[in-house]
Amino acid sequence: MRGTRDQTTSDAELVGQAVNGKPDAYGELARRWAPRVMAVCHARVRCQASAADLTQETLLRGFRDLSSLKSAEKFGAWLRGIADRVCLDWLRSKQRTQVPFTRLGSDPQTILATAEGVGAALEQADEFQKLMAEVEALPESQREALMLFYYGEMTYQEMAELLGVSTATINARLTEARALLRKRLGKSQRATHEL
Amino acid sequence: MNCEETRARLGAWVDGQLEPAEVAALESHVSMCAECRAELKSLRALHADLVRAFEAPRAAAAQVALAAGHPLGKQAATRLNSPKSSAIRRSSSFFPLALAMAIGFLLAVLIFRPWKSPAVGLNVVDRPTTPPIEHVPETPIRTPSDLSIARLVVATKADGVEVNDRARKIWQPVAEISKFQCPVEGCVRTSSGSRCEIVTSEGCVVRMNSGTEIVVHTPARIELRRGEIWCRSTAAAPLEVIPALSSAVVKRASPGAPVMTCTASDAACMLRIAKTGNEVSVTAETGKVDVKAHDKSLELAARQSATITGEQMRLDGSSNALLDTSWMQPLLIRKGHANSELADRVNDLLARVGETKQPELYEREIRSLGEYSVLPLLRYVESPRSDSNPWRRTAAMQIISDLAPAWAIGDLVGLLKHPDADVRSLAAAALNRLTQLTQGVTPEKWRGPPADWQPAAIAWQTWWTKNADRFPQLPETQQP
Repeated sequence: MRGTRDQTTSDAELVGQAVNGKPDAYGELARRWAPRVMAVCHARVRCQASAADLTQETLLRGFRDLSSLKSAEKFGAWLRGIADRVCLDWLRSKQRTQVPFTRLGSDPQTILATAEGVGAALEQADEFQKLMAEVEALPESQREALMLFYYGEMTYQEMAELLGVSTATINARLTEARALLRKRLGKSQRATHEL
Repeated sequence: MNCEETRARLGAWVDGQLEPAEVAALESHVSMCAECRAELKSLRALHADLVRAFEAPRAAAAQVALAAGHPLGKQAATRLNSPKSSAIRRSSSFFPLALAMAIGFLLAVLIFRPWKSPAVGLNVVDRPTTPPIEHVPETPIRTPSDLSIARLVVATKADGVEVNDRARKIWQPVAEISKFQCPVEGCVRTSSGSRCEIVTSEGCVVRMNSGTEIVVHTPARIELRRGEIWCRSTAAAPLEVIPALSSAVVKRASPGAPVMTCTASDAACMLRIAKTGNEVSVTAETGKVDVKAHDKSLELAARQSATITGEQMRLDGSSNALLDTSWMQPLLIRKGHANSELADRVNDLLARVGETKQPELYEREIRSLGEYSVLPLLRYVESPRSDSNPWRRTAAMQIISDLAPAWAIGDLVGLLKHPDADVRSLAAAALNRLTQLTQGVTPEKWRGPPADWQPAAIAWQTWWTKNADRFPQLPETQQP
């Protein structure tokens, strides 16, 4: 659900509860922030499967270090900082040669059951993979904004607060991202037709 | 507003991030500017593709959350609650689980609705796929039909629904929907991923989300032990719902008097017990719902919510019942294409596309119904009421174009003569997808003057007359 729907407990309250040992308080934080953390990780490393692993690592580190968070209201930005460091460590360690464990035995592509026939479903999956590849190729600021929007289902205001920019900047990044996607996808389609 | 200003805001419009006044200004410009209109259409298409492309990654994120949240939640109690922990200390305002049980309050919810006829359910699954965990006695639980106080109407997985007569304390999965029996004081629960609808002998409808457990004390009194339910009662008999948090003591105004008074009609509501187990939320979906707790009472109007904790009952304001009831969609689908409740839901969702700040949420809900959204959408596009909002009609038509299966071909051929160019073009695109035919006219040409497409419309009709029997018809359905 986009935005802070039905959050009867704020992040800051949940942080306090978690630190006080309330069961499942951190679990609730993890549930809320996993999609957003995954957006950040995916934007950093440009690989969805690796992003899932790095998201788990981020959430675990957040749990471990929660008592060091000085301002509970800044939980989101703090967690994003952890994600940045986790991703940087990963990129530096050249772990791209390893197969992420989440990829083992899992089906990375969920195909919407809307197309008739296996052939159409495969074609649709292929289209989405191309689209995702183009998203992953966007400039970093646009990539992160787009992924936060579509993963994290956040409002512009929430994204602006998380990234420390204005909503106008968020709008501009998303507008530029979509313009670039349409331009590149348009070129890709023309190239396909010319074959 | 000029084109440059408009195009700078189109993305925010598609994302549902604009105030109504801004939307109105954009609509005004776009209605007069073909280029900006085309730009908007292109953006919406890309947005829809992105939403779908991110479905799988979002699902993966949910799995990560599930995997990370569960063990972390349990570890928190032992690892974080140490003398060395933190600069942040806040006194908890929430009761521990055990304490919550001792709190005496009564939540009674009365729901009324004139009831037409009981739903006719579909047998979904014949045999359980896994054996029950508990030992199954040689003589299965049988309840004489005249003592069963509820029947199972529909379930996403019959064996995901279990019944316990409480006397023998054995949970048994339902083998066949038609053989479901629930005795007085019987318990019903749904496993993870299973949802079901039961109707009591008083005609009260109770839909159970996955991971929900209820006790059917009487046909008009239900205890919600965990999870989430949606319920609707009859005018003849109010439905009383008590969450597991209530105390064993039920305060009565006077001996023999009903716990609650009945004041509403045509009402339905949802109740959900938080996973922490110490608060309950109640949302009125339609009509008015009476809630009593802590010796106070609240009357919730449609779409109002209240939350009851161990200490207080508070009004939460408006909620989005339409999206909150999204979990019921798999149950509605199983009632068939033409069931009226499904059609009403699609129409309600469609009404919000283009009206709210988050249209993509509602569009996604419609799309998640797959081909089951198509019939209500077709009826909407074909009806004169769609003339009042061309944008909404185009949105509906886009979904139809993407999702319509072969049984909709006849309707699509009929839409080729529609006065709205978007409708014609999208119908042609759908027909091309389904048949690989164009009758010599590309989807874009259907936007042109009649001379460009009328011969093709006639050709399509001729083709359909000759070939209709080669394609599937709308599946037969059982009407509730």
